[in-house]
Amino acid sequence: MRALGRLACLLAVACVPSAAAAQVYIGPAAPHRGSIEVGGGVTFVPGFDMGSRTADLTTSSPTTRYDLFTTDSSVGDFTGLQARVGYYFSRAISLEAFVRYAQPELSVALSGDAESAADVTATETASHYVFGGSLNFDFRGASFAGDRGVPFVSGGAGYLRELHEGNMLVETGVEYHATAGLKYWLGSGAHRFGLRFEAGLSAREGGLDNEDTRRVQPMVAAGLSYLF
Amino acid sequence: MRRTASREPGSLTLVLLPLIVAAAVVATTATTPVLGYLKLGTRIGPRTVNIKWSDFPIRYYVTERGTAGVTAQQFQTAISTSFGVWDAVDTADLSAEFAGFTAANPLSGDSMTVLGYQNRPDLDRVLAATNFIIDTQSGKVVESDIFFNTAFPWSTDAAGVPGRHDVQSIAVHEIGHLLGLGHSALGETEVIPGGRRVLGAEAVMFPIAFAAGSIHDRTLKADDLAGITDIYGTTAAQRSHGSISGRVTKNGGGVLGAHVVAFSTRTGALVGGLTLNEEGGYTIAGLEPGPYVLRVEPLDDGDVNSFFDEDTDVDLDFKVQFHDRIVVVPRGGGVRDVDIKVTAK
Repeated sequence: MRALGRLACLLAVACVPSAAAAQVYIGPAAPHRGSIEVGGGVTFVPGFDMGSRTADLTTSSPTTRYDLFTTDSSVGDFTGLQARVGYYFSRAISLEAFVRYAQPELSVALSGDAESAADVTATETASHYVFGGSLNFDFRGASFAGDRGVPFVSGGAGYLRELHEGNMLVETGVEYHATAGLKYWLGSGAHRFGLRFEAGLSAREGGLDNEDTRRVQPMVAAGLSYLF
Repeated sequence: MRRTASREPGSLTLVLLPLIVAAAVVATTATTPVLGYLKLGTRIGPRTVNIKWSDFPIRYYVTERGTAGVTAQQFQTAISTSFGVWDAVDTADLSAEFAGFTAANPLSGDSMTVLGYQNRPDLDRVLAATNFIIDTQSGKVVESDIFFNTAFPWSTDAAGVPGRHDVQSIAVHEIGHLLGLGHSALGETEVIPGGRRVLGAEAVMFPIAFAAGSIHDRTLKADDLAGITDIYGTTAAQRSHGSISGRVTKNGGGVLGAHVVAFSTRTGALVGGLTLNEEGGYTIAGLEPGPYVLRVEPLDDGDVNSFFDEDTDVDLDFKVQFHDRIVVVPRGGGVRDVDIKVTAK
């Protein structure tokens, strides 16, 4: 029994340095080059006014129009979901692909009818997708709470694809975004969950818009990440 | 089609009425306006056929006589320009060709398409008229003549002349009929002693013209473009343009003769259509894709017989109203079942 006890003790001693060597082989704590971060959450971009347009008729006067009625178009808030996957090129730099989805409501307020038709707001629900990519930079030097909290900035662009109700018509465009935020990891292991918050600006060109213009809107997002 | 006029202070209202001229050689039928939104149609046996040219270019002749203030050459130039206005629509495939001057009169029934003058003081509201001879076997247009009534003063001046009717403006309207378009109801008028005064119109094919001297109708509007695209749309236009159809109902029943207007919140285009049957069915075609809002009104801005046969029981007893849904026109297709309920006044 004593001989067996010695053998077990030797094995235990032999195993300790072996285990320590394996940890060193893994390298620095995640994220590191090759780490993957997947996540999802909610996003919010406020709606915007798409402008007014008057349905008017030609009159005998070259300078006067006959107003039949007036329209004021707007799109409601883009409150939706986002899924993303990122690849770390280093502890600080990662590249993400993402998809966002929302169902904004388009509305047209009809008023001022020349023949006193009652004012009405006509609506439809659209589907909003953004398929895009972002380059993220984590400020490791500014991390806190034992490297759990990490501020970051992100910027990127996406393909905007918006479908009118019933998929009757596809409208496409481009989305750009620049955000800053915070990741807070719920642990320190190589595989871990974390919370992510970000806020910034989202610019869009094209899509559902009535006007050929670039619109810059604030955006916020919050979600859960998993790092491995 | 004939254009009639009623005088009023500072203005002249013009109304087009459907008319098909019978001929001995080629049997014809009575017109039954209309299909779609303003397409002229004729009944051949049990079916209704849209009036449409199938052979291009349309060869037309111009009478060799002028009238006070307009020489035959000036008249021909204005006519050619007017045909060119329609020919230039890039979403429609049609063409016309001046075949020469002729001594023949319009309405001659000679298988020649002739545009010229007639002195018809008896038609004191008729500025111009378009007539068809149609082969009742094939439905093809054999001949279509347009006359301009010399009982009224005319002008071809580039800027228009107050008190004189612009040949080109009237010709663009009449040639629209010659090509198969009926009347658009896209205008607002008010009744005054002796006729109606146009408050505004957004279609060359609106039946009531602006005051003499106006040249507004030299230029096609979105409604005219949609109409001609619907009839003669190019292959590309058929793939890129779409339609809205549905019913207008009141108390569960169809409303006949309701004027449905589609307004593009993106382009500002106004395009109208009419409900054409007892079920209240309508179709607005030739629309560019995109979101539209719809407005329905009674057909009360022109004589009903400018749009329908006199015995048609057009319902004028309902309130103007908007549809509460945005309607999105797809590319190359149609959005159906856009039903609108209206209420009695």
